[in-house]
Amino acid sequence: MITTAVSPTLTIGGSSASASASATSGAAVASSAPNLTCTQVYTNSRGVSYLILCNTNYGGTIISTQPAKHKRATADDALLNCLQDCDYMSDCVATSYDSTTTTCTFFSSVGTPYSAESVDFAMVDNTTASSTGSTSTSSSGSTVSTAASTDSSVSSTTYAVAGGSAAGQGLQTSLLTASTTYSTKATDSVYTSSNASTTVTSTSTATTATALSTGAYTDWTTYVGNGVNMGNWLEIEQSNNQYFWNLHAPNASDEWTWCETLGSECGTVLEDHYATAVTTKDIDTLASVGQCFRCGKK
Amino acid sequence: MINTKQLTGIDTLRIPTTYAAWVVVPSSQLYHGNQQTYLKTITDYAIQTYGMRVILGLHSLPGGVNSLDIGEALGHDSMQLL
Repeated sequence: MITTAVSPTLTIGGSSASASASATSGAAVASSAPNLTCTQVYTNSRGVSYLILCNTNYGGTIISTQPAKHKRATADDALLNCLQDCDYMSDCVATSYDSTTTTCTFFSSVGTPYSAESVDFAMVDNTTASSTGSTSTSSSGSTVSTAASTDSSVSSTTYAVAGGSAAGQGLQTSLLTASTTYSTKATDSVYTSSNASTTVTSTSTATTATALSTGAYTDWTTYVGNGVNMGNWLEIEQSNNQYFWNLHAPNASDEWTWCETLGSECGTVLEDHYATAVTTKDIDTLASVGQCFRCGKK
Repeated sequence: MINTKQLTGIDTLRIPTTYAAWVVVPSSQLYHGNQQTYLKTITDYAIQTYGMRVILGLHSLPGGVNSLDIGEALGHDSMQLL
């Protein structure tokens, strides 16, 4: 069962269940992760905040009740798993874990609370004040270009060219400065590295966004992103798009031979491919993935 | 209490390239064209519009890296400028 703590601090382990925990403020609770704390707000890495309530259930509209995925999970783990599933359901606003039935129940709306010994409850919470932070980055070098992160709910983001040429001969040679207003409390997380695993420490009251000083590089050892691999665009492989590959040189074993087979046509075909395989519209689509599942709904 | 729930969209792109996007190697069959132009168009847009981070992948080196198709070509392992 989830422990009750006085401190407004909760610690959540990273990807490893054995991650050591750390906390940032006051009478922090330091315990083995993952650990959800009763009555506190848990913000996951995707920036969704949940209010955690123990020994409590709610009436409401139930989407479904499903067996918990991990039979051996402790109640803490189990609610976390329910919560992660809720995250990916478009109309889920709350979830509960019942240790008696080892099931997750997902809610599309929440009614009246009532005491329930075996039930822990997590509901989406966006009640805390929005935080404001400034983030700036530089991008330089030939291998990595970076820019400020923006929250999905950012209402206004402005970029200004703040500096001249950055070091290196990379694609992006100007320094970008971004002022970003966050309208969720998603950004009060501080990411720290602990031993081999990553510990995510989150406080329910912090308001400082993850900030990089002007000209700073992205710290890839702590950066958490939602990424996509754009394979088969500027580098092609048969297995990535067999139709495209086989249309031109089905017997080629690699891009070298593929291009060799096409001869002078290779450039024509590839230039057309470069221009059409990835467009700015695709970037729009990627940026919007998962956003605003319940925009406009209470 | 319950408010809109929003999830972060894709904020990071990994874009693999071959060395031919960056350098001209006369004896190479890999095509050197306007990869950088297309890349810059897309990444500028992604960075300036959405603040995305971009990871560029370099999939090969002249002469071949590891004898694999993606190292330059099957069987190429010299990793040597020709």
